[in-house]
Amino acid sequence: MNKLVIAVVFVVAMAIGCSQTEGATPLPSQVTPTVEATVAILGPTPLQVSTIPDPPVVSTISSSPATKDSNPLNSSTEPRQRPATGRGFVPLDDPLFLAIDQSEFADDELVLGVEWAGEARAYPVRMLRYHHIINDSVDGSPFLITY
Amino acid sequence: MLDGKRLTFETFGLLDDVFRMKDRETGTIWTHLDGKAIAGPLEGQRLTMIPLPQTTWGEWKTAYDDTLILSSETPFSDRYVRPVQIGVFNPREANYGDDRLPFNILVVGVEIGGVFKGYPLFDLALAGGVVNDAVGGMPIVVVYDQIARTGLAYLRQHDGQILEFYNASDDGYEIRDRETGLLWDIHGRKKAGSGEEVRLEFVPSFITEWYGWSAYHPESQLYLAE
Repeated sequence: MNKLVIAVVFVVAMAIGCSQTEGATPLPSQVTPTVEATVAILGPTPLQVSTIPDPPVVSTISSSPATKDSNPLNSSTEPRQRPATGRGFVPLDDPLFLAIDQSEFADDELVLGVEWAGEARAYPVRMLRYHHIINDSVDGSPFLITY
Repeated sequence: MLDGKRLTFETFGLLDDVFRMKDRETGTIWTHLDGKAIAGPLEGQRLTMIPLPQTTWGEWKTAYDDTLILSSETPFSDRYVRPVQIGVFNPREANYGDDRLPFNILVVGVEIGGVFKGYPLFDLALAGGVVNDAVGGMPIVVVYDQIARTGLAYLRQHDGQILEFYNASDDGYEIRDRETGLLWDIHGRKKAGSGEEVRLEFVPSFITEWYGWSAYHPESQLYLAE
């Protein structure tokens, strides 16, 4: 029931170092075969935020997983972020932020808040409900917001 | 700043109706609920959880007057119009977890010292929004502000002293500890004039639905108000 198809984009690239360059050229990407998954309508889902651990150094990624690009519409020249077709969840990768007085949200808007690297940031739940994942960072210190 | 490389994540199917994540850099599969790497090159690693309180924008910007807020100007801005309806749920779609509670009951899920415990929001409210407890041999306080809709847990000790907290307001929410009599906010910060910030240590905790919590942690203890 509620079978959905989620297109999972796997970026075959290594981000060396800890900060990402502004305006970097798009990472080369390949598209894996679509993954079929049973996705329930996610109600009020778990709230969690995690810092990125210091993983063991992975020397190289020798090859991408077996990829079979069966969809001619999937082109590696496509921008990494685009509205999802269907109901898959699209992570938000390069979030932009506004100061309090620039925000259009009302005081009763439900948000998740985080303090990280000396900065406070709020994430409206209505946006998290669509993306479920935000890959964020403050001053090159990365963290993951997941809802 | 980390010596390692940055990982970025996307969603990857479901496990017990809770989505999993995949990092793009190594292809490792991670759980959403507790940030564990369950398959792939980084298997066995775990992400560190930091506080992510749910609250209202009005409450948050009062507590953090220099906060920023995520801009809704994204390529997906037309997808944010659906109002958020907390608690609306189709139970047929989440037949996971155990039957101690209905599947979609919201709890503050707490993990400390390898021990898990769920605190239903209803029971936290009954208890006045402050529960002093001992879990895994550690003294913790679970706080829940019904108006701000915030629920989190902290270690209730400071400077070697174990503190006991209570809601000092009859009709609102105001956390004090009995030992010093001073006020604390829901983010674990002592409201003690100026100077150095004093705050309680965060205990990994978040608001979640019972089905996922009890499916991932079947051994979870359950708090019920007396």
